[in-house]
Amino acid sequence: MTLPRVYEDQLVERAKVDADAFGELYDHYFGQIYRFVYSRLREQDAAEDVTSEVFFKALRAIHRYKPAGHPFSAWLYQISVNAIADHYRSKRPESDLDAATGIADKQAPLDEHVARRDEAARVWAAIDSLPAQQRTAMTLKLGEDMKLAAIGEIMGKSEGAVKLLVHRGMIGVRERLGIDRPGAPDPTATPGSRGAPPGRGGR
Amino acid sequence: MSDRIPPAPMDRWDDPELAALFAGDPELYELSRSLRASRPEPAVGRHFEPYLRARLMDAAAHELRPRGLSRWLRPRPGLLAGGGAALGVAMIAAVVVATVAHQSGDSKIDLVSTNVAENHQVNPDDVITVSFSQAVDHGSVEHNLQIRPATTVQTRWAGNTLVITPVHHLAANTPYTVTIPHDAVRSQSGGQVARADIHITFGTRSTPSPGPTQQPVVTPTLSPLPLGPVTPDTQLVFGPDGAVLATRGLATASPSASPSPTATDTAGLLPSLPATPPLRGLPLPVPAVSSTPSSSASPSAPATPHLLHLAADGSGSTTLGPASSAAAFSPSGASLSYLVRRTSTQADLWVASADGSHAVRLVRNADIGSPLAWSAEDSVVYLSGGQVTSVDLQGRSRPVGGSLRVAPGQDVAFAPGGQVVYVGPAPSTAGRGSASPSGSATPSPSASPSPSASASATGSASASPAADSTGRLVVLASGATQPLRGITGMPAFSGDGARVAWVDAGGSTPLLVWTSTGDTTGTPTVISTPAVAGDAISTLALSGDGSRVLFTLAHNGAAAAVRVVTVASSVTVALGDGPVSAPVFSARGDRVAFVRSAADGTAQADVATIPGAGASATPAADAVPTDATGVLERFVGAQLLRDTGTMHSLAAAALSLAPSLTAEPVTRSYVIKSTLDAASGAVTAQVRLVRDASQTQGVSYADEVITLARDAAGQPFQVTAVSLDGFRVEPVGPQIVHVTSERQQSTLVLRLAFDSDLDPASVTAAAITVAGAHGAALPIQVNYEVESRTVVVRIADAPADALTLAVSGALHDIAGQPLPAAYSTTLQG
Repeated sequence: MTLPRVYEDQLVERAKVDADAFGELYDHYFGQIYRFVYSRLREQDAAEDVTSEVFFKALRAIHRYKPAGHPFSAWLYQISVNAIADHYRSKRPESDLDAATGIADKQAPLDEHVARRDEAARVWAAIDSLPAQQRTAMTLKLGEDMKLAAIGEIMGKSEGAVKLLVHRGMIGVRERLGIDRPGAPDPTATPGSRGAPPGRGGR
Repeated sequence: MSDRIPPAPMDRWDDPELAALFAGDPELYELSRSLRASRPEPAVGRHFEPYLRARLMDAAAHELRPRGLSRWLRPRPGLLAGGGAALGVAMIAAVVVATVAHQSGDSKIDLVSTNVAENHQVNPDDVITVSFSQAVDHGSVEHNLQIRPATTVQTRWAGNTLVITPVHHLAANTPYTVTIPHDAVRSQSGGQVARADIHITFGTRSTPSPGPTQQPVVTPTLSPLPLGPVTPDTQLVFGPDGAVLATRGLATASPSASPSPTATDTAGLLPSLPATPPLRGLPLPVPAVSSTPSSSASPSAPATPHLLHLAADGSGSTTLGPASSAAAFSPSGASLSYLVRRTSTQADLWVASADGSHAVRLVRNADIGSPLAWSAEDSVVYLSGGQVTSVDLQGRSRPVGGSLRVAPGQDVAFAPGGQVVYVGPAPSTAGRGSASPSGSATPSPSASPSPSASASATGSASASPAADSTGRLVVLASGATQPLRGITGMPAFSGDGARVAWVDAGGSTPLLVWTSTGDTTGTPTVISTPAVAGDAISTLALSGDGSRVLFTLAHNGAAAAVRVVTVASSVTVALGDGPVSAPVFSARGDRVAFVRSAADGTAQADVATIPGAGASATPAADAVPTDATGVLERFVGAQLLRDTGTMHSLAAAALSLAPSLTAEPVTRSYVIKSTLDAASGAVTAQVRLVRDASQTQGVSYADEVITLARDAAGQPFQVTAVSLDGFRVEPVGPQIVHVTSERQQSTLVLRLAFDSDLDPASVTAAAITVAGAHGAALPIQVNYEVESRTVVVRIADAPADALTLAVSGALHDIAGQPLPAAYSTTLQG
């Protein structure tokens, strides 16, 4: 998944003047970046637009890029975070949890699979209602399996600060889902209790 | 219609970081697992990825021209807002164009590009890339890939590009050939093959290799050799003779046991100093130069710290002067300066010959704890009253560094060369208030005293201290500053002062970083370490060329371990037990000295050879005087350039250069072995001249024997004879590129460096033998250091006779190719 650092550094240097090298970077990182963008937007058209913007921004700015000891992906994620923020600012107001969950509630599941996806969407919609930085940290951690330190590199924060964001974000999600209310239905279940995780591997 | 990004593996819902974060709240952890398991499944349009790629490549063809030429060609935001029908049409067009272009190509596969072809100065750390004109059968190419000299590689593919990573980096100063037979380069369907054999020739540059690109399977261990007792706060400096100087070494012999050297005080010339004696020209009661075998040190004898010269082989010490707080050798190594405490606030700055004789006191007002550095062969910089001050050998001093002032207790260090100074964060108000002169030098425990000179100043700075909250470099001439972000402890400088390394403790995980001194625009480069949050990195030293860094790493509260790591590739090349202090590299970077303290308060200076260091193809025979090596290198370098003027200047007048001039250009050369004939004082060097391979001919070489001698004692070495064989094609198989010997106490250690990765199973005492003067085989121990491609032969209790080293064809490389011809050479035991 990760390019050897020496090779990546050389590739990035070449990509400053060589379209093929930039294409190789694109080939390597497209999946990661698209997945991240999609997990934040959960809308295919928007994800494609924003991903396009991310790579074009990278193309225009790569001559200014200097390796700082972090993987090149950290720089792309930084661009992505900014592009997503721009998208939210220009396209729509902050995500409304009630609306999101309401939509989920109104769309009656047709079968178990759809029900799981709907439920997943409802749970992740709770993340959308978090403050932006918590949302980014949560998405990178829970959606991209990134290390806390790597998230810190992308967000320009210390690992401790990222821990705080994730911790607060999780508490916020729990509150929004009402899990800690006595008698509230558990909107989620562990993968073990459900067999295959919804949306993963069971298709 | 949409495709789906492949999901993550199923076994990843448990995350140790999240488990630790939510250890006190199992419900939150379960929720995090659920969120990870139910994360949105990304959907992407089937053609979106190739479509976006096509658009990017189109834009890149304009964007990636040299800056400033095509700014108007950059895509406008409007171009990015595409969607719907317009994009659909464009997308279809792009796919069609790509398809047509592909189908209209020739059916043969071509080598499109490689990053190394015909480059004879490739960085040994580089990977090799080979790009094909279309998709090929990966397995076939990898299976038939041939690299000469034999090199262990890992391969991966990026599209149609094969990326070849040498596991133990490329050998420096070596010609390479990469070959892939044309019928091995076939399309994935097997219907097409390459137009011709792929034959890539290149060579690597002669810079010493910083190390392998990947972690060696077994990291060599530092084996310290004790040099002698010291005080725990001593600083160490490597001397020009390879010995180690301890500023506070412990010798038991009486300093007055031998005649006092002549000492002269120039400080009396300074009007600001007290007129009290001694006056210039009068002998001073400096401690005598005396020799003390370390083995004779008696625990009951009074142990008084002195400036000690510790023999490199641990055989004893020599007192050079009184205990000092800092010491530095001049750039040529001919002179030594050191600071000796005189009062509770001030120290005397002395200059002496390298052996401690002819000591002269230059100034009397240096700050206690001031660092020292030579800014030229005849001037030294130090701190006086918190002001950086320069003094020449006549005792004429002047302030430098403008308004820069160093506060008491503030960390300060000079980069070698004395042009740049590191100034630590300004001490806190409380700290400044309590920083009354302690009367003793207080170098930071994490400081690297050399090649940089570092200390915590305890002088009587009267000017306002710098208020910066972070440590920074200051260029003394211009006052320009360079912050060292997040620095904790002291930085370490390379021998030329061009690089600086430090520990960035700004985050929870300490980072080891480096940058070029004077580079105020770049971002520091991180040197990867195993450190995790809560670990501590300290005690830095950089090698002379800045290619290796030593540090200690304390993990999880355990005792610190010593690591030597390559700066370029972050590979650990040696490990050792810690903690240690005052580490310093030798000038050649092949040895390191440090102080090891015991729980009872005692300490000793150790020196250790870094496994594999110095084994690259550079002349390095310890027995050969360095000035002879320098003449030899310059002569051979001039030979490559066919610079007859320089060759004449280095050769005896009577020597005809005609035999040493080759008819055709030579690409590279290296000294395989050089030896000193102790009886005649002549140096004989076996040199190999190499022509790299080209598309039409293979590697060829010619062997040359160069003799150097002095006209008379004290005169410089000259080339007195040259004998050059004709060029011949280099045979297949491993080549011996360098042979050295050194004695480690009673053990003679021979090192044979190869250009190829050897089959470790073939490196045995059966393939390598050493015979004594009468032809009897000596018992030997043979090891192979894979990362440096070096065979190490140890001969315990080696006789001091002429020994014959022989290597047979039983030794072979990883490709099974044997040594092309038996090798034999004579060495002095």
